Order: sequence, then structure tokens, then C-alpha cells
Amino acid sequence: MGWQTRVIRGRYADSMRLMGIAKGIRATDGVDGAEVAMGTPANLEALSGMGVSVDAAPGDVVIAVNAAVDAVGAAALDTAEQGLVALESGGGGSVEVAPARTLVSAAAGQPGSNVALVSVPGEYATLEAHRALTSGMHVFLFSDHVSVPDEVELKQRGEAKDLLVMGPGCGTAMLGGVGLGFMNVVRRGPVGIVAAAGTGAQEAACLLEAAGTGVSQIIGVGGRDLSADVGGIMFRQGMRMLTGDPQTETLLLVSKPPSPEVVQTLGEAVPPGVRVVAAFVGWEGGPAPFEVHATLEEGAYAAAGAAPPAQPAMPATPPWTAARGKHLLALYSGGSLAHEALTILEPRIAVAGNVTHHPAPAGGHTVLDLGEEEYTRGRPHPMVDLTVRLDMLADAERDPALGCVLLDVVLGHGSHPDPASELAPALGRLAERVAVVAHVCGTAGDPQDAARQEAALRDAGVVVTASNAAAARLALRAVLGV
Amino acid sequence: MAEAFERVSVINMGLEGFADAVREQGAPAAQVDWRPPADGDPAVLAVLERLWGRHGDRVAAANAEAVSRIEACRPMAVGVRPAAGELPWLAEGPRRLLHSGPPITWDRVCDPQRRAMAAAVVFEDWAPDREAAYRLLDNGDVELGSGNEHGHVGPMTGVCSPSMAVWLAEDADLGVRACSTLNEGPGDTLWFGVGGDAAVERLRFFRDSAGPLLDRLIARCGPVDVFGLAAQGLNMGDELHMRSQGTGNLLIRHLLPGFAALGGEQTAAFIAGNHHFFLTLTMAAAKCASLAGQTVAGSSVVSLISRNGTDVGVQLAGLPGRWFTGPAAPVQDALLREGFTEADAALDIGDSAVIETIGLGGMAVAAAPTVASFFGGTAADTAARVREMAEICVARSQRFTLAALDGVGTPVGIDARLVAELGITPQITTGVLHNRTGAGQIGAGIAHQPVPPVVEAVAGLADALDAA
Repeated sequence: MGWQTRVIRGRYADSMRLMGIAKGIRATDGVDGAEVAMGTPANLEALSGMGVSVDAAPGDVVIAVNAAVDAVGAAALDTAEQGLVALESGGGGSVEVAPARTLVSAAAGQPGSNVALVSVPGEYATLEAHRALTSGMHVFLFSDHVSVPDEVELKQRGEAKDLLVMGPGCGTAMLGGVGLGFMNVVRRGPVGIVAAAGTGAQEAACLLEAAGTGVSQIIGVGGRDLSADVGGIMFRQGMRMLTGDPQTETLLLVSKPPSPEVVQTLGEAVPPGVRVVAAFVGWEGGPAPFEVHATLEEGAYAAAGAAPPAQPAMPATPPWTAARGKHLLALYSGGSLAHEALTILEPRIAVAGNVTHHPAPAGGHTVLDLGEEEYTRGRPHPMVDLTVRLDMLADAERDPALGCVLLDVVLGHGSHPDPASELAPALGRLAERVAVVAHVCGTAGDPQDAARQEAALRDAGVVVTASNAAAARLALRAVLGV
Repeated sequence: MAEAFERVSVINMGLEGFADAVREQGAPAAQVDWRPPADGDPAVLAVLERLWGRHGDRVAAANAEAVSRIEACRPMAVGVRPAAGELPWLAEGPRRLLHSGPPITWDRVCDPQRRAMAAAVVFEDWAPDREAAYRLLDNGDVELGSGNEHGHVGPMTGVCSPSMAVWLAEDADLGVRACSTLNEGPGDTLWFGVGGDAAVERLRFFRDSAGPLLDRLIARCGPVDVFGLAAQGLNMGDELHMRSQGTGNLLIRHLLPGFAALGGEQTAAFIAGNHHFFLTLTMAAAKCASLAGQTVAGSSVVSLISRNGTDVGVQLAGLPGRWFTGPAAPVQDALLREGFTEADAALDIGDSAVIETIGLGGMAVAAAPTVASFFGGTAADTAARVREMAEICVARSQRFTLAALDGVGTPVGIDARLVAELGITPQITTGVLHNRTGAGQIGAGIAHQPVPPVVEAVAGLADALDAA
């Protein structure tokens, strides 16, 4: 109580600046007086006149604060000392500021930065991710072509520093309500997702929204995390972190089926009593320390504690009745969605394509993931650029053996601004002759507005389902004629 | 719980749409103006991955430590003394000279530095005249030493001989000390590589009159808080390398009562007539701070940039004493005096870049709009220049602030990793010397310090850390 002083040795600041700092401190609640000055004999004498005795030299800054409450005075001393140096400005001042050249300087200009998004070419991505970890930031690593040893080293560093390394090849995440990469606008809720599959996470989040619940966080880990080489380092790290998140009540794991050993280690990542639900797309059963579902739809609705909507009836219109015995063509932009469709189709019909282990014979049932590398060289992802799909749809118009077309339309930040506007004309021409079924992976809050996209597709004669699984089942019934 | 589960603040490298999407959701996102590191050179990239990856935390901690030691150093000028008494190496042989830049053999010494050395030999009475002096030097009868290896830093040719008067700066608490010759001013001088009779005569004046008087003045008026004055000088239009007139006036103010008491008109007149008088005091103090920041294992902070007109040498705080050298740079954008051309210009020379290693000079150029205008730049250009320097530095100084930039600290602690990656080096505004006639200073320009020695240095650091 009373006067407190602080001497900062060997520090010079102009007297105008010091007086300005003192003025600011005096205006603080609980501060009854303040002086900030260089320790010249004249200044020390003036302080002495106020009853403040301090040992300082002319090259020292003296801060003196009079406050009834010690803590208030101490805080004022800190404020005054911090005021001696201005923070680096990230802009907004009178001087035009050039953009930062590295993460380090960008972070200096935006204090509190905590997530780095990295989508630079793969050969440089490892360096940028390491730099982010060194700076104490989580990493969203969209870049591909990062080697397995680099991925392991990055994830081990992340684990040791309690930071997330989401990727490489991670397309989707959501932290603190902010979607990163390709992500839909969803309501916040109690389900925390850890996902090794980008569109799988998007579909799960949209289905949770449809089920009336919402998502706390989505932690993407990249497609290789659960492989034997990487061993699920970040999947477990994500699960541990979500366990400590008060907004998360249920963990939803989204992936292709990991090996049984890895499944076991995932169970050990969380303490008993934490509810864990898995959507391991294509899961064929086996021991697991938590409940596992074989589709995104089942997993998401189980996590929400709700039943999926009833399967829509097959239309009785000619294109649908004529599809029986003819071929199915599924053109996917989302890899997880293609895989989910395959999980539903393969037990009943022989399917070829780049998501199966069979090469595609001409004219059979075909499921293609157009997000795979062979279709994306030199062009953006099919969620952004519809060219490849439109070309294939144009070819399909001339295929007499074709009975049904199945596709996904993925919305959200990062995706094409209005995919239905480009797809509807082509799909409309096809729908006059063949069954066309689509699922819009999106929400009403998305920039593209799922309701508007669905309406445009329906107007073109497309049957639109509430989930990707429902679309695949409907397509299967069409070609089987059941 | 992870803070990012509550609040996200993004730095984006790559697709700008990702940053736009984050901003649309109401969270901050800063876009990096990203380009392939080191122009995509895979060998440099591999080194940088090691230094930001497996050694990243070690280097970050070491760099923070190096900068905090630089910032904590408070060198005081405690006297002006004969060099031999303060720089033992000079006294340990019959004929020894210190010079600026990395170590060099006589056959490779550039013309202006040869002239300065010959003048020093005459000044020391090791030879009766310059011809005899050259013979001694040619015969290898004079040992040459790099000032930086023996506690001395000198401007331009940077020659120091045993009898010369030198500033002694030290931080007794930290146990660091360094010397620098008294600045000779313009014209016929050693530092500009002229070395005529007037230059030698001035050295005698320093040795016999100015030096001893300055030593007594400091004893009477008290040690000079060099960085305390420098911090004030930044608010008086000085950046402390190209220009330190304001700070020099503060020094005169400090000594003024002593002059009144002790007299010394000739010395006072010399100081009053030399607007670079403070330069070597800044250099000696900067060398102290640089030494204080050295010997931090693992640090990639550049502790030394030093040129001798033939080679440039760089050292890192994490590899003290180990030189990484390359050819000295030409002085670019030179403004030359009437009658001289670029073919007359000697290469970049001097130890003065030690000033940039501790957050002054080129790091503080926004303090000195006059320096900018000298080269046709604007005040806004100097602000951009400081910002660019911040791209390659570890931190912002707490003690050196720039009123023109609303009080931000100057960039301090040049990170060799960032230099190697971005290809940005400190620009040093410097004099241009004649490369063969002894005409002295023929102009001024900007010396962009070369990147290759810094690239070698980071590779050396990565190897050292791998081996540790």
C-alpha cells in the first residue's frame, strides 16, 4: 500500500513518451498517483518531494505508482513497463505494411496465433510444419507428398509438445467452431470427431446436424495416420485432447477400418467411461473396445443417439424401372463417400473402379473417386472444379447400357460456390433416360445453402437423399430392380 | 484443455482461400507471402528442415538466450588507452597489426588496407618511411591479426597498432570488453586507406594528446553509457552507423564539464569537427554485446559480419570463433564523387557491421530519414526496410525503439536460418574507397552482405547439432 517503485536499468525512453505512460496509469482505477521518468537528479528530487525514495541513475527508467491495493500498484508497474516498447504492428497504422514472409514474422504481427494452415507444395511442407511446431502452433497440413518418416517425426514432435499435426493430406478440421480447409457450417454440439478421412468427417458432421445435435471439434489426422507405419500417433493424441475438452461428451472416430492391434490402442487412448463411437467405413466386425459401425450414417446417428431417417421409396418412374439389369456409374468427389458407397454395393454386385481392388472393365458397375491423384493432376480437386465429372456425365449420355448414376455434391467452405448450377443441366439430360440419385453433403448454413442446391437438383429430375448411404442403397435397388 | 478448442487464430501458408474462409467465420487469419525457401535449393532445404525440425526447439531456446544476453549487455566506455595495454596479442610480438575482417595473408590484402598498414608501420617507427614499411610487410616481418579475434573492431580498413589510442568499452558484470580506435574523421586517414603524412601525424596527436585527455575526461565525468546515449540518439535522427551526430553531441555534453575543468582546446576542436567521432564507440560497445551473446551452443544468431575488402566473414553465436567466408561484396547503388567510376571502387570493407548484429544501424534506419533521403529513399522506405530486417531477426529490442514507428523496438538477433531461407541480408550503408590510388573515400553506397557464407554457417550449425 502506498508508493511502489520499479527501476529499469539502462533503458532510455523519451520524456514525452514517459509522461504519456504516466498519464495512462493515473487514469487506472485504484491508482492515486503515478510518475514515470528517467532517473536524473532533478527527477529523483521531484520524486523525493512526493515521499518516494529510489536508487536510480540518469540512464535508468523509474516507475513510481501510488495505490492503496498492492496488486493494483503492481499491475500498474507492469503496464507502465510494457508501455516502454510498442508491440510490432501487423498493420492498421499509417504505414503500409508488407505481408510477412514467414510464419515467424506473421505470428509476431498477429499475437496469439495458434494454428498454422499449410498448403504449400509437398517438398516444402515439412519445413513449414516443423516451424509451426517450433512456434508452439497446431498444424493443419493440407499438403500431400510428405514422406512417411517426415510424417512420423512431425507427429512425434507434436505429441511431445501436446500439439496437433493434422495431416499430411488433411482436408477438414474444425477447432473452436472455426472450420479449417474444406468444412461445412455446422452447429456446435457435444460430439467431437477424430477423422482420418476428410469428406467422412464432413458427412458425419452434416448428419449430426441433421440429427439435431452438433459438433464440438473435428480433428483431422490425414489418411495415413492409422497405417502400421505411423501407428495412429495423432489419432490417439486427438482422442486424448478431446477427452479433456469440456464441450465434448462423445467421441466419434471416422476412418477406414484400422488393423485390430491399432483399434485396441485407440481404446487405450481414453479413460474408461468416455463414450466412444466409431464409424470405420467397411468394418466387417471383430473385437473392439468401443462400438463400431460400418457406415458414416450409422456411426453418426449412433453418436447422436438418434435413428436415421427412413429409407426413401424407389420412384416408379420409367428411368428407375428401366434401370434393372443395367449398369451403375458412381462419380464421387469425396473419397470416404465413395468408399461408403462401395461398402454398401460390393456385397450385392461386382463393382470396379479406382476405389476397389479391381481394375475397371468397360461397361460394368463402376465407382470412381475423382479426388484421386490420377484425376487431379494439374487441376483442382473435383469438389472445386467440376470439369472431369461433367466430361464423364457427357460421355454417360451416350452409354446405352447405363441404368443409374450416383454422385455426391460436397458443400461448405472451400468447395465450388454453386455446384448445382453446373451439374443440373447435365444431370437433367441424363435423368430423362436413367435413374440419377445424389446426396448433398452440406447444411443450410453453408455458403452454397444445401436446401437451394438440393432443390436445383430435384428440379432437374435427380432424386436427392438425406445421406450418402441412402443414395447408395437406392442406386443398388435400382440396378437390382428390387 | 487445448486453447485452440476455444479460440482459433490462423497463420496461412499456401492457398489463400483457406485464410478467406477462416476470416468469413469471424476468426483472424494472416496470410504469409510464401515463396519456396532458398529458391527451392534442396540442399539448403534439408539443412533448414533439421534446424527447424529435430533441432528446432534447441535452436529457438538458444536464440532467445543469445538475444537476451545481447539485450542485457550494458557496455560502458571506461577509458581511452594505448592499444598494447588492452589488446595483449598486439604486445606479444615485435611487430603486430590488427585489421578489419576475417584473417588474411599480406598477399591478399586489398590496396586501401595495405596503405593503412604501411602507415601504421611508419607510425610505430618500425620503418622510416612507407617504402621501407612495404618491404617489412612484403618480407612477412609484420604479423597480421584479425581484430575480431583479439578484442578489437575497426571501421573500414580497421587497422590498429600497439601505440594507437583505443576506446575501451566493457560490461564488468558480464565480463566482456572490446576496443576500437579513435575515429580519424575525413580525408587523409588510415580508415579510408590513404595513410599519408597527415594521417600518421594525427595518430601521434591521438597517442600523445587526445587519447590521454579523453581518458582523464572519462575518469572525471564518469564512464559513458554507450547504449544509453545510442537509445537517445535514435530519437535525434541517428541510426548509429551511417549517422551518429546527435549521439556524438550527447557524448560532448557528457564530457563538457570535464573540458571546462581540464582544458584541451585542440582535442575539443577535433571532436567538434568530426561527425563520425561516436562511430567507433558504438562499434566497441556493439562488440561487447555481440561477445555477450556468443557461446550459446545451438544458436543460429549471427554474432559477426566482418569484411576486409577481399573477404567477408560471418560467425554464429552457436559456433564461436568459426569463420564462414566468401568474397567481399561490391558496394552497390554507389554515389561517387566527380571524376570516379565504379571501376575505381574497392570492395566492401570494415568491422562496423557488428552494429547491425545488435539492433542498430541498418536495423534502425527508420530513425534516420536523412540517411534514407541521401539515397533518394523516403521515410516510408525506411519503415519498410526495418520491417524487412525484422523478417530475418529473432526479436525486437526492448531498449532501442523507433519513435518514427510509434515506439516499436528495432529488430535484433539476425537468425542465419532466415537469412539463408529468404536471401535477405543486412544492408550496410558504407563509404566507398578507391581500390588502387590511395584517394581515400570516393563515395558512399549500400553493401548487401552476401548470402553464401551464411548458408555455409547454417549447414555447419546443423552438422554440429547432429553430432552433439
